[in-house]
Amino acid sequence: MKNLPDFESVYSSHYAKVFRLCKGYTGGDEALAEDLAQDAFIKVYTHLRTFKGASQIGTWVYRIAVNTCLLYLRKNAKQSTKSLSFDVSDDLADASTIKEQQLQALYSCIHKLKDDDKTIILLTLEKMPQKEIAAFTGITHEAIRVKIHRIKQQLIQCTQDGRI
Amino acid sequence: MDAFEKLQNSWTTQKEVKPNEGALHKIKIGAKNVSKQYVGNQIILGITAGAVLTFALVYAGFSTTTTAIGFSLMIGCLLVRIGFEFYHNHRMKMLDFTLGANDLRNKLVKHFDQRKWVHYVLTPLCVITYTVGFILLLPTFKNALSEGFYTYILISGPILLVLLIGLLVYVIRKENKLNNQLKQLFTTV
Repeated sequence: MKNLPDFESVYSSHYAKVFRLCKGYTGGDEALAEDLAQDAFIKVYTHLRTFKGASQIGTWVYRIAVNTCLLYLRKNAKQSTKSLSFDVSDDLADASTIKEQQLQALYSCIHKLKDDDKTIILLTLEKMPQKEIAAFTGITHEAIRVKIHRIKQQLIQCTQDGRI
Repeated sequence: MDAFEKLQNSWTTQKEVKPNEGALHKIKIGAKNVSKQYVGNQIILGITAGAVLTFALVYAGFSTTTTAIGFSLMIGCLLVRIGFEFYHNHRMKMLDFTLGANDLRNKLVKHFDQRKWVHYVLTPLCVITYTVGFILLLPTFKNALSEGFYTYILISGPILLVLLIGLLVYVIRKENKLNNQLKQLFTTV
């Protein structure tokens, strides 16, 4: 009999990452991200017995979270999620405020991307290997490398001037 | 550190959010509610089939060929419809969220097409079959039931059928609207 991971430990060790991934899809809307993370973990709880151990549990949880968020975004395509606005000007502010502004800018810029591009960049930000992102999105490894490069440039540009 | 690495660093070092107290309990309850929801629809359809079957066995019996055919049509079409509802609900419940995004998308699009077939082909066929079965049973009802109850069935039967069709049209239109939107989104993104 295979040794299944314990749900409580999967939950406690992956909640924060799943939450910020969902927050990336919701443009920084924390309440919605919390709901989506909860929905994703309901699926993790339901399907945990089917986990075969072919990938790492973290990758498996990410897949569920991404699919849950994508399904939500597509179901609710007509309603736009809240997007945080950000000020790109450099104010005289302390380091933590600057970091917070950078993060807000990042969320806002991710929100402007197409759904599939959001998935690719969010998984890249989470440091998922390109090979695994390619397998998940069904795009070739070579094509994903090109896409990642393009989205990275878009994101950098956007966090500087607010435009995609 | 290049510009993207800085962004990545901001991303991975952002303040960790701890789950709310009781969130774990909510998840477990949520998982149970999902199962209950799927069972609900099937219970309603099952009770209808059960009521017809009970009437067939207790009151009328399969005395004539016409009666037997009438009951078989009514029960048969309900069972077929319930069977498909079970099958599709089970498939949705078992939808593998661990699949790649493309594979999941293909599965969902296929599911939406099958639901369309159920709504536009199977459901009308079932309603017609159910009505034919009901009409075939009218002589049996007349013989087996009191005049008052027979008159009640004669009047309430078509009214209930019209209400049922109205309800089905409403539910189907609602589901189709959502499915079409989803299908469009899944195939164009």
